[in-house]
Amino acid sequence: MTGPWRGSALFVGVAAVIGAAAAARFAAAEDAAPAMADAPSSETTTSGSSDSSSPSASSSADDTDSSTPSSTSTASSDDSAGSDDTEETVVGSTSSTPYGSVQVSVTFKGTTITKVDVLQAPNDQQSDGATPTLASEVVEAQSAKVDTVSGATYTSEAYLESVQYAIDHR
Amino acid sequence: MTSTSVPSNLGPGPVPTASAVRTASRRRADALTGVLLRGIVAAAAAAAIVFWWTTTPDDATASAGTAVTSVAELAGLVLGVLVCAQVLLVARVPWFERAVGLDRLVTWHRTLGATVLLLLATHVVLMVGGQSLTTSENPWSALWSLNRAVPDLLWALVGGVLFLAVAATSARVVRRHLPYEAWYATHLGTYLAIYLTFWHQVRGGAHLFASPTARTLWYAMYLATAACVLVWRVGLPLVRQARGVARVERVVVEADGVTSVWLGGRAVERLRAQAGQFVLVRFLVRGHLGTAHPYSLSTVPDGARVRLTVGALGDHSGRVGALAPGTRVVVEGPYGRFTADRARHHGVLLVAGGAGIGPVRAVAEELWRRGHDVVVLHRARSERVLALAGELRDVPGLRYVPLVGRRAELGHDPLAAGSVKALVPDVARRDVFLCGPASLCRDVERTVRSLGVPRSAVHYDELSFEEQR
Repeated sequence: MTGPWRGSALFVGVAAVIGAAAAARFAAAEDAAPAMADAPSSETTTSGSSDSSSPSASSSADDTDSSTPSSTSTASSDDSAGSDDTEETVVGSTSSTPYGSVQVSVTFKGTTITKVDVLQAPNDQQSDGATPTLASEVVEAQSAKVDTVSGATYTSEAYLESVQYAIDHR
Repeated sequence: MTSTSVPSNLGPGPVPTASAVRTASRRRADALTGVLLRGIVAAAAAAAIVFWWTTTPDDATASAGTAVTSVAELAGLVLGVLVCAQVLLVARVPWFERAVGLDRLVTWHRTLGATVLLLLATHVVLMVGGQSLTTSENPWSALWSLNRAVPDLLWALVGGVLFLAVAATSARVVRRHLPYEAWYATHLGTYLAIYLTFWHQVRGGAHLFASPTARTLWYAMYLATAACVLVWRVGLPLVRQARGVARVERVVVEADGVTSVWLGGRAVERLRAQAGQFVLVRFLVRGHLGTAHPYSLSTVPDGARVRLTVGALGDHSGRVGALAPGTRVVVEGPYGRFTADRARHHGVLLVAGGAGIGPVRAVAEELWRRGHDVVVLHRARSERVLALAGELRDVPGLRYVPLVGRRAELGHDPLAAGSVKALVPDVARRDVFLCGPASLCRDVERTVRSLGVPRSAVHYDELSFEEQR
């Protein structure tokens, strides 16, 4: 005879397995996180709140002394507009896509965008293929208003959103 | 016993039942298939978890929101696998039918149905919750921002609502008050719901989108499931129907509210059913067209015709008595494992409640032909509803005991442990076959278990009676 709560009991079992798998996976991710930080060619760690303040990101902070030295999420932007030739790296927003988060840092020389680095992006082919293209287009256009890369729409939109954020918060 | 004289009231003819040659090794193989089937479902779900593990980025824990979203994705992947399993369980795959039996497949389907519904709720709640945490929106606007980000999510939401409707009409409380037709029509919506939810999985699911291999496997899983449904639930019945129909030959009133329908024709000749099994029957006449009902065989099939004995339980089976000879019938099956093959002891006790005598009568004859020591207890409210009694009385080597009367009138329960022990002193060494209302089967199972009958020796078809209306 069929017990009326058998389906619910089975669900509790499945939910427990899912919870355990997730916990184990996230624990493994925590272990892997320090190793991850070295991997990308970035100045900040992906978590954004760590205390490893990068020296290159605050090169302009020396001029003013007013900003907090450990600027990470938005970088220092209190410098006077006059310092045209100083190189400055601003970290953009973290934009989520269904495939993972995207975050970039934009490097300015004066008001000119010289470089866009990926701090984090979904670990898939589409993103790997799209980000170099987007970086060169942004540098060329000196703006976040460039076309998205077809086949990687989500990554592109999130990427450009992050770039825009960096430009706005420079 | 080895009597060679066939009493006239136990059906004519020789003893050609192919089923008699089924051996213990076959039974073991079937049991193994049942375990294997459950193992495959569990393995597929485990594969989904492993796949999720390998494709989850290490920064999934970057915030509470992304972590919750990640768990929601895992729930979704497992859900996708279980939905396929749900459909396969009732796809009438012959291999599953033979090994597990339609009754248990349907029971599993019901159990897993509740699991799938709760998992669906988990997936949606965690998805919206994760998005809400990530974007700091309220759940409602989080749903809409998800909708913008994930392709085909709107259709998936429609599919989800359809799933809810299917689940609601299948809940015990609701189903009891619902016409079979309404339940069936809603259940057909499941296929649409699966189609609608499929596309957001392959086009929007972060994990499936990222891995072409996994996506191919995912497509293969769903296409294979669809193929099973098309072949065995749609194609095969159509082919069978095209190759010859069954016809109603005779309608006999056996007792108050109990009617027998004899079927003949080419479809019946090809049926290869065993005593105690049931078939899905659709009478091609106004009032019966919309639905196929499960009815049990009440004779050992002789290869030319079968007899179905129907108790007037629902509005549909109540009209069976009005069927005219010659009415065309679509017969699907046979299904069920309430057969003589399950007996392992020489001694057998069969307990029938009301119209449950139909399959019990058939199995009793088959067991008797095979030389078992057969006792039949037939419980009924009154003499007037005691159907088929004449066919079992006075059969040498078969003891038939009618237990007639309401408990209140009798002043005792004729199926209480003491009574059963007095009627069948050696019950503990017998196989026990039960068919009747679910409450009676439950009670008798408890009774005989208390008298020392091992669980493995108690046999009943979980569908055989409950669904016969």
